Amino acid sequence: MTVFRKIFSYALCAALVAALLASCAPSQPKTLTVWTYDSFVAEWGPGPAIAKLYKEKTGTELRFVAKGDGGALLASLLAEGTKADADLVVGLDDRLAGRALESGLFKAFRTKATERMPAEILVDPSERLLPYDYGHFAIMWDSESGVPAPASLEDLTKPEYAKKLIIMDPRTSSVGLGFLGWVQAVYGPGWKDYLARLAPSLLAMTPGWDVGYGLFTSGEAPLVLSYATSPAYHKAYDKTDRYKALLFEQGHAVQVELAGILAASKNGKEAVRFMEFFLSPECQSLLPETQWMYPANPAAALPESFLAAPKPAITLPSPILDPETDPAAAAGILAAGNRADALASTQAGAK
Amino acid sequence: MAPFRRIGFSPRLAALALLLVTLLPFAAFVMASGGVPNGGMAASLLSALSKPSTRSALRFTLLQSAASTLLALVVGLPGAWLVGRFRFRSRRFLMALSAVPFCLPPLLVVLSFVAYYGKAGLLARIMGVFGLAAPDSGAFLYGFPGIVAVHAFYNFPLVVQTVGSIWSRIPPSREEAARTLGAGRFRAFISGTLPSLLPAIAQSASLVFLFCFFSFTVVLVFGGLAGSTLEVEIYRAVRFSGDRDTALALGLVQTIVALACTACFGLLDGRNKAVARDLGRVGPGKKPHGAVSVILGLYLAAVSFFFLGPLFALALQAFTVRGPGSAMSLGFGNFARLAGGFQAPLPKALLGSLATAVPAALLAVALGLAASISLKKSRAFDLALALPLAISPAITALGWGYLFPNGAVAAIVLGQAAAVWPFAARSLSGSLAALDRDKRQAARTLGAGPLRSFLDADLPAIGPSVAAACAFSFSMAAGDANVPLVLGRGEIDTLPLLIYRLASAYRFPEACAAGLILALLTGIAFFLKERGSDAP
Repeated sequence: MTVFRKIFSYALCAALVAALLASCAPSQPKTLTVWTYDSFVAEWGPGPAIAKLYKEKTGTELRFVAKGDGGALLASLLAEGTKADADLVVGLDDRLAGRALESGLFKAFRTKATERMPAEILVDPSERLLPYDYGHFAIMWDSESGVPAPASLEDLTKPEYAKKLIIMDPRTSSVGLGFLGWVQAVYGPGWKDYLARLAPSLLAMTPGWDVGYGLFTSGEAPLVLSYATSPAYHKAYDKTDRYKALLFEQGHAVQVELAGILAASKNGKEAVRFMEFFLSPECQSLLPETQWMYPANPAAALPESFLAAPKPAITLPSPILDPETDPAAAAGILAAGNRADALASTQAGAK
Repeated sequence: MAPFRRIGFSPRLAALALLLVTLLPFAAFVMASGGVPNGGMAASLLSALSKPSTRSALRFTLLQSAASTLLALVVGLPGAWLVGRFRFRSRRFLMALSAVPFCLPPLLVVLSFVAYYGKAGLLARIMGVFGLAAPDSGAFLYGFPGIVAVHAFYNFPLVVQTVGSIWSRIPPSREEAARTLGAGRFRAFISGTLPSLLPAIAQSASLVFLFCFFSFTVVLVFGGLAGSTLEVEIYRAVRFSGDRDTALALGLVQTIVALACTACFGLLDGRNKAVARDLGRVGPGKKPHGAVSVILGLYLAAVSFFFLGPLFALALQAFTVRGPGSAMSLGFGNFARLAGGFQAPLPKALLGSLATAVPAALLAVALGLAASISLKKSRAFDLALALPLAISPAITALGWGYLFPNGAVAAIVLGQAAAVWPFAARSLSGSLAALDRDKRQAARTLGAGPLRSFLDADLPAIGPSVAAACAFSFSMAAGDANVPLVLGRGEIDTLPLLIYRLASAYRFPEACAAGLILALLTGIAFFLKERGSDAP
């Protein structure tokens, strides 16, 4: 009995050690690790299809690691720096790209694919972060709500739109941040006054686009900050024209999503090969109906549903004037304005 | 059984292990932030406190927590009275409702509230049927009242369960004795029953307060324009500003204030363990009659209307299939898409949830047991349990992220177990306190070692409580989205993660469908717990 128990316990220890070693073993040479955000690797996102296609073409395994949302992705990257176990990063927002570039973690990558891309999306002249898709911000309108469609950012401040608009918080959402950039591009130094005027129109300022859009489709409000490509989704899946993207004459701000190769990566050659593939028309045509954004490479085929999505004529350059303080200042102005308005209306109601 | 006799069970070692599990992620966060900020912790703390944004966040946090706790008590205490004193058919169901705040991801709670109380919500439609104008939810939901309402309604079952359990064990004889001595009904209550109730009230109020203090998703969604709490400020500092020094300072402010509040509540709580031991088993309770049954009926109706309403709205959303055009019909379409669609996410998420939540629950209960046994029931125990609850969940989750950068299953299990064990310990300590020492003493005198005597004498007695704690821990772990989100999914998928992904992808009704399945899973586990024992 004792001998048997000894053998058993040794075997158990050996198995544990083996398991430990196996988990520490470096990944096989033909695997690329790509850090990205959650929705990229979702079953309905582009990740699985891209991984499958790339494996068929090159035999290399793509390992996508989801790091949360775009903000969390950047935060993880900056936290780990050169120790990050990734070869590529896909999904950095152009307004936050400054911090990513300052970190010096990325390696320049030159490709012919950028020659045909629209100039406004090539945000990094050093070519360390390249665009893979983009979309214009737009106000989405529920055509069955009975509320008339606004024609400009200024229209949104009219009293008829009181508590009818949902936007996102610029401190936590890249969409909210993009809206701030849009406002700053249109109003210049008067952007704070505009936001003070807009405050009474807000029903909610949600932390992320998902909750805000969910509230919109649930009928909480007839207007929401979203993308000009959102109607394409509704056309493809809901077969409805109910939700429309409004085009403003003054122009729209754009969000560009960026990808880059990490300088510390040990699979540099393979990473370069993947980037070429990622920006090729074949791979880019997978993006529209998964990301609901325009592919950066204009040679990529667009699906029929995108005919329902209007494309703004003017794209405004819209960097944030002071990325350190403006988001908090904007949120403060909107909150104060909304509270003051609520106070006034309750006082009026009490009378 | 020879080896077992030699294994000692050192309470100090267990306490050390627990402290490590609690403080490890915090330490990891500090290290990852580049160590202690320049000028030392105190300076960083003072500079954070001097900022107006910190002070207003602190003020708002305390205000909303206090208001929510008050409302939860106002709504919960009548329920506790009904549950404690009377016996009626839906009693167990009312007690089981306390599962909800722990088991549903906050995102779902928020979505269900909107689905019910919102402008186009179920309540508005019901009122429309009766020709009543829907209340202006715009002013109510998306602001301070909305936050307080969500907090109160999702935490009041905790008051009902905690206070109700103790109330049911207080023999009515004390009150009756006071009445025979000539005291009025109210006076008899104050002197006879209230002193024994006060510790339970304080304990439940303390827990509700802590939940609201650290509340995150609700404030993020409904509070965007109303204000911000410390937890939200920490999240913003780390996520978007990358300012970890501020996050750390805010986290410390938060922990200090939380511990101070816990200590205040603890002043009333001191006698709770003694009371639990003094009280006997659960009293049978009277059947309600007359005025009481009217009150009961009204209370149950109010609970159904205000509390179950949102859950029902959620279920309705889950079954609402968006057809072509704006057509909405009821059907299983959403479930079909989740279970059988392209790369069906549901089975994988369900398996993942079970694979992480079950080990996490077992580990949490083991840790909780160790805590309950090893630490003497005293201030030290309360503090040891209070500490993990007083550390910012954001910092803890981020700390686990730094310890396990590539998110393995083990990391998720560890992270969730670490988050859940204080609740398991709290749940077990009550029944352990009421344990019969004599059996164990007998075993010891017969020569059994400490572990053996525990296994043979105590474990069978607290068996139902342990099973209940397992079910409870499982529900909490299954509903947790925080830990896996921060660790980075990698290979494993869970139901809460699926819900968040669906919500981010225009697929709102499917998120509700997945949420319904999660609610059923955790609800069943919790209902089993209630059947298993009547212990708090």
